[in-house]
Amino acid sequence: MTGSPYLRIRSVQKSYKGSVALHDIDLDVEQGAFVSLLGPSGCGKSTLLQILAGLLEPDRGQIQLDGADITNLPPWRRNIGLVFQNYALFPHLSIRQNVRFGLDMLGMGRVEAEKRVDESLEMVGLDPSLSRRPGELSGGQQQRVAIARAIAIRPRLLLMDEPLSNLDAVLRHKVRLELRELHDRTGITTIMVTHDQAEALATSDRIAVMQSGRILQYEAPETLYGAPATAFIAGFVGSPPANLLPLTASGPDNWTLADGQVWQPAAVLAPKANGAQSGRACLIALRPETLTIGTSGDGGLPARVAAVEFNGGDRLVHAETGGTRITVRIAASQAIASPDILLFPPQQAPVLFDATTGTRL
Amino acid sequence: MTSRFGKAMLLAAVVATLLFLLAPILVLILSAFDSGNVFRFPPRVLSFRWFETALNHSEYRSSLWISTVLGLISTVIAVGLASLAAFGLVRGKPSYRLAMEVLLLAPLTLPLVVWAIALLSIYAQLGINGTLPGLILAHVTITMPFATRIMIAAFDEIDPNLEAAAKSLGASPWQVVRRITLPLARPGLLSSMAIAFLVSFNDVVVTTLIAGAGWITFPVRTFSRLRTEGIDPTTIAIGAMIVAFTILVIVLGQRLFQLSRRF
Repeated sequence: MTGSPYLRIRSVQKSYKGSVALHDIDLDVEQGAFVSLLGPSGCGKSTLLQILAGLLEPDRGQIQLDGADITNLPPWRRNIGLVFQNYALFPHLSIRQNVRFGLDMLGMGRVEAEKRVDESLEMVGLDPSLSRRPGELSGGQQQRVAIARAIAIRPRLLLMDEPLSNLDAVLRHKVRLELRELHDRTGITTIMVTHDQAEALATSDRIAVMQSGRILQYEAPETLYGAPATAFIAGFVGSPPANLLPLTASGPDNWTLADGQVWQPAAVLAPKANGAQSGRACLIALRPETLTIGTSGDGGLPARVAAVEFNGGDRLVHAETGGTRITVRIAASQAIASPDILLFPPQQAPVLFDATTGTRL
Repeated sequence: MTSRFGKAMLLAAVVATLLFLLAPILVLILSAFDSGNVFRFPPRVLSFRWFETALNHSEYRSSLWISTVLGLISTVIAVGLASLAAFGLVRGKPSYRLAMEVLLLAPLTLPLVVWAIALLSIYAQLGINGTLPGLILAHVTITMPFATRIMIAAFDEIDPNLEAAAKSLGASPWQVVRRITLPLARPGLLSSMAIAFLVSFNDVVVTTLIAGAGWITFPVRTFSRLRTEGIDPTTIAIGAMIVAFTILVIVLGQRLFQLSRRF
């Protein structure tokens, strides 16, 4: 990487009344990237977004945007667009006036501002002649207005706080695609806060997974999915997420499951090949779509089918092994003849975590 | 059948309540058009005689003038201070918010007479008894609890994200107040001004004690006349005019408000 990144967050800390919301956050965002801050509620993602917007002051640390230190710049001088979960449209202004608000603050002339309003509304797929109040629009339309208002000022950074969570499931799917398309058209560096991993995977160039005020992993969606840094991420990302099967090394070649069952897997999955000393308690991450089901063969995990879900294009098999529920995705055409099956993990280096710390082995 | 009976009962209850509340106004307006020398109801001979007397009565005219000016000045001061206090409590979210809200309501907890006597002794020390500034200060004191209460509710209803959004769009704190907060607080501002003005305009107790003989407001003059000469039909006519004026203001205000919402 050459030169300094477009947005550079260094050692940012924030506490509320003694409880730490953000520990020492470092994050770099390249110009034009779409980045998601992903995590459960209370992980600090919204706090970080508010600090970027200038609505909250960090206790320590520095934020640089486009080479300039903006840590102490008030929000109205940052030129950073903000889209709220509840849209926060000004109810006393018309839709056009909402979109024009930021342009009026810039002191832009009438003709130019009106033109920019037209452009921005068209950009989000709204009719610029819409002469209604925000309260008369549907949730999806209000959200478009909120985005048009934020991009009208041609912001240096677009921040979105859970922009899809107030929409119904069908619309959410459609709009997340539109968000990505809009980003690709405008090229505005975008940071989205979300608790929905599917949303983050679908839209982002990079995802920062956060938990308890820390960034656990900051990677491209593919890396996050294939090589999660912690057991928490493996069990959080994916729909359904990875299965986490607890096992303890009971020799160089075999594992003991939670119920005492001994499993002798293929060599690449054995404790010896993964540097697990005898007695080491681990979690193995098994992606539902990488597992295969068979009835005979070496290295299989004996399991018992509890339920099968038909999802149209595929089936989800829920089976019990070693006292743990495991989900397997199989083709819809594949049938399960008997409830007693063998599960075969892929023959490649497994994703293993330490059972107590949750970190990668 | 029961639902029809229920509806009839509801209607009867509504009519009875409205009558109970509005009967004094009806009596007032109808008797104002009577020609008799004393207050009587129902009126017998229609005339505008007491309206003429009222309009020509210099004492009532000056009292009405004093009441109006006093009401307007104390309303502006009380609502201004109340808005600042309410905004600070709602947006600043201090840990003592609840305690402060209760304290700001304190003037309502004591009988007005007790409050007036206390004010009287304080103002005597300050040397502002019987002066217009003293009277304005006293009226600000008794109107502020209402104004504060209403403004707290008004600001509580404004989503803080709206102000944050405006800031992110480049609005300075002052522009946020002018373009977002105040317009959204306008219904609250109007009702707190109306209530403050009415409380000030109608006050007898505090004004009697603080104002002395210098600043006799309309209700104080009416009340003192009532005690010396009984019910004066002139005051009835003035009362009717005040009611008419109030209705006019409300109707006009409603119209203007709707117009302003549409455009």
